[in-house]
Amino acid sequence: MLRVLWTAVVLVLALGSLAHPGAAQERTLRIGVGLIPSNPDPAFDTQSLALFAYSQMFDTLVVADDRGELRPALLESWRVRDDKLTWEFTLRRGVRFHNGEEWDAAALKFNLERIADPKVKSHWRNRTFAIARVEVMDKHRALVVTQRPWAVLLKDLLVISMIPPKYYAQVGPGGFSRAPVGTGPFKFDSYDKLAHITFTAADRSWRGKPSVGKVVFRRLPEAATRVAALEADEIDVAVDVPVEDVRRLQARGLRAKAVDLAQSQIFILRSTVDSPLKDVRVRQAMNYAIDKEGIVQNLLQGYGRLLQGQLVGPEAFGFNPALKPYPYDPERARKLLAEAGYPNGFEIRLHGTQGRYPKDTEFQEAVVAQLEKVGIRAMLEIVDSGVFISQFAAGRLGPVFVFGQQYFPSIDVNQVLPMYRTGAPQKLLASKEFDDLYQAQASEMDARARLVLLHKLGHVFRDTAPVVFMHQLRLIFGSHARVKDFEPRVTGSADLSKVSLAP
Amino acid sequence: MARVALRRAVDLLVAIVGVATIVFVMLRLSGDPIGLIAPLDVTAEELESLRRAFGFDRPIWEQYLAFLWQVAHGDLGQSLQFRRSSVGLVLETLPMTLVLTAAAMFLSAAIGIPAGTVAAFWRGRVADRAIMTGTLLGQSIPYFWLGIMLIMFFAVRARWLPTSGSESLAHLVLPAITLSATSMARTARLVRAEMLGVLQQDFVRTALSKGLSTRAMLFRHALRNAMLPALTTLGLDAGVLLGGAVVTETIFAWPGLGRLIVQAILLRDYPVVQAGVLYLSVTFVVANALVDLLYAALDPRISRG
Repeated sequence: MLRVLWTAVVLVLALGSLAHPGAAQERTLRIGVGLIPSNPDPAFDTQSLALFAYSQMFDTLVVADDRGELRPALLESWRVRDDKLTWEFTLRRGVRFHNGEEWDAAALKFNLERIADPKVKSHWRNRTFAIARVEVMDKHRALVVTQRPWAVLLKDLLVISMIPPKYYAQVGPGGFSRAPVGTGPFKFDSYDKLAHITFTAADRSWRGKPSVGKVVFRRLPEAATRVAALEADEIDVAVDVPVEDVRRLQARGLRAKAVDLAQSQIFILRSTVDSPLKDVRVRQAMNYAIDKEGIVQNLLQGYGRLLQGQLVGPEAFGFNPALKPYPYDPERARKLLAEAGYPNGFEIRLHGTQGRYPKDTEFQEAVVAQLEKVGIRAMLEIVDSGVFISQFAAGRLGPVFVFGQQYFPSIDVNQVLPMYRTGAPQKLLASKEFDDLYQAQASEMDARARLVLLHKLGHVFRDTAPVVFMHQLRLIFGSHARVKDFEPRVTGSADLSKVSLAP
Repeated sequence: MARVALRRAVDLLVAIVGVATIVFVMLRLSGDPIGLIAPLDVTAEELESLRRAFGFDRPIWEQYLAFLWQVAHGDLGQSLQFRRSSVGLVLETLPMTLVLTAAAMFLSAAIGIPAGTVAAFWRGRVADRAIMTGTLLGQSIPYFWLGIMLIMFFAVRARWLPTSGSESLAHLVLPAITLSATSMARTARLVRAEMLGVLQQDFVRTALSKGLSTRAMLFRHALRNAMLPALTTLGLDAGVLLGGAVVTETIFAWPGLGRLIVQAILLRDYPVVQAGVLYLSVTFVVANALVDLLYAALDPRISRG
């Protein structure tokens, strides 16, 4: 009996390993990612890895390139009328959804109204707040009217993927989540929430026909497993490879490509609560006290780029080339502290994370040690990721806490500014100068004039120092040599319709 | 037997209410749970309307009763990330966790019990020392490290087994071994200790002097007497295993309940966290109840007592 059982087990195991996808078809591109969209409907997941998957099968009105410039996508062109409120959108012609439905002005109106509808509960609803109404002019033109002049309207809409209205009405929200339809170069194939999302090449797309026939995003939450799956040839690309593994992968003939993500790593210094941080000299002193360069070189092994005394890197709209990082100058830090009335330093709570950002525990500890040298005794408290976000939203973290701010997909500094407004629930900063400049730039329709305002705002922000400026994260993509034309972007995603697999 | 079953059923009910209460209190310990639900860039007005929508503005006892009512109806609200019934999601992923846990329990019993028996019989010899060293390792190695090492050797180097996923039975092997290590070691140690006691009893000597083979004596007579405590630990281990499944499922990308709960915690999907914790606890209580019933079946003295 036992022997029969064993034989059966061994046989099944043998069959199982034959069936395992190590030797999948050549034309399938397999990508290992930490997470896949929690819902195939693009209205409901805002995480960058979800956007990576969505962008293969859906299109947005416009896209931002890696310099923050807008490029046409489902819109062919746009212009703002003299009232500064009315936007005239001209749609790209001849685009059809995967089910054959035509992309037209009615579809545009439907999509913007769907996201704005509170009953739909889209996570992107706040990106439609500026819109007062949408009107269909004719088949290929629509008017979008905003509540007040809103220069960043199109950048707000960058995250909204267009879906077919008739099909949606026919299958309902649940049906759409089970079988979503878009206009992208890939169409939906299958989805298993904890395992994978799979696409096949669409028959037609205005973005061109993909070279690979199929794309599988495999969900491998643990980075070590992701790397192992790459080495065992179970996947072609691994997104987010730990720095420590890069050398080993390269030694084994695998590729490792790094991009500076449009995400800034900072420590937020809340000056709205009662603490020494209320004094601007204290906040500046903390910027002088930390050796950012040393942290990037030693802890991140060079896999990071210093922030230049502002929240975005040189690729973003609003970057101010005149600004420089606060130099590492503990002597000056001590002097500023003494001027502010803290010659012997002070004690303050610092909320940190573990595993939320690459190497976070290590660099938080390094920062604590450096602050100690100028007399600031930071009490590091590690907060669990889920609690961290909720406490952040409720304005209860800190006074000092670590934070990573994404400014993609818009690659525009505007995206990370709203939470520093006086009225924001996070209660980070209360500065009338900042508020006024923020409002002025957001409603300045002329791009060049807006940039001037943003540069000014950059100076104010650096000197007000509501944060300690640290670095931009670098994201590493591991891949097999046969993967060609895989070009990761500063958004952490890539256009897979351009990728091919060498035999 | 029926009386034991009834008593267990009452226990189960008490446990469910207890766990529900703990879940309810925990969510409110850090203050208003609305922070768990609201998006990162929420406005103050939106926060207020959300608070009303979820009923967090009502008195606490009213919220508590409403929550118990929900639990009684198996309705714990919609998952915020998946937009589906959280209980449905939990019930969908629970079988995968049960498969993994059951496989690990099977390994613990199938390897741990014979290993403990062998170690006891050849006490102090090489076999005993080897097994005891093994159990020490098994009990002290963290799941995470063991899992990664197994992947490195069996999936990346040797390529005998897949690194992760759940497509075939072969995918179950490494996670089941990883998960079973601790409980296997504990079972082996316990069986050994029990067996040492049993082997000194008279009936063992009688059996051997009657000419019974060592194997028959060990596995048919002695082991039976040593099994009861081992069963109890295995039952208790169900809880440990369910907990370990959370880590193991993450390493091996095994699409089970543990993984679902971790993701729900990270994404602040609190209806799923609630439902997941509740169902995990119920599963644990049920597993223990089953062991107790088994206990009663194996040892008639218990159901009479």
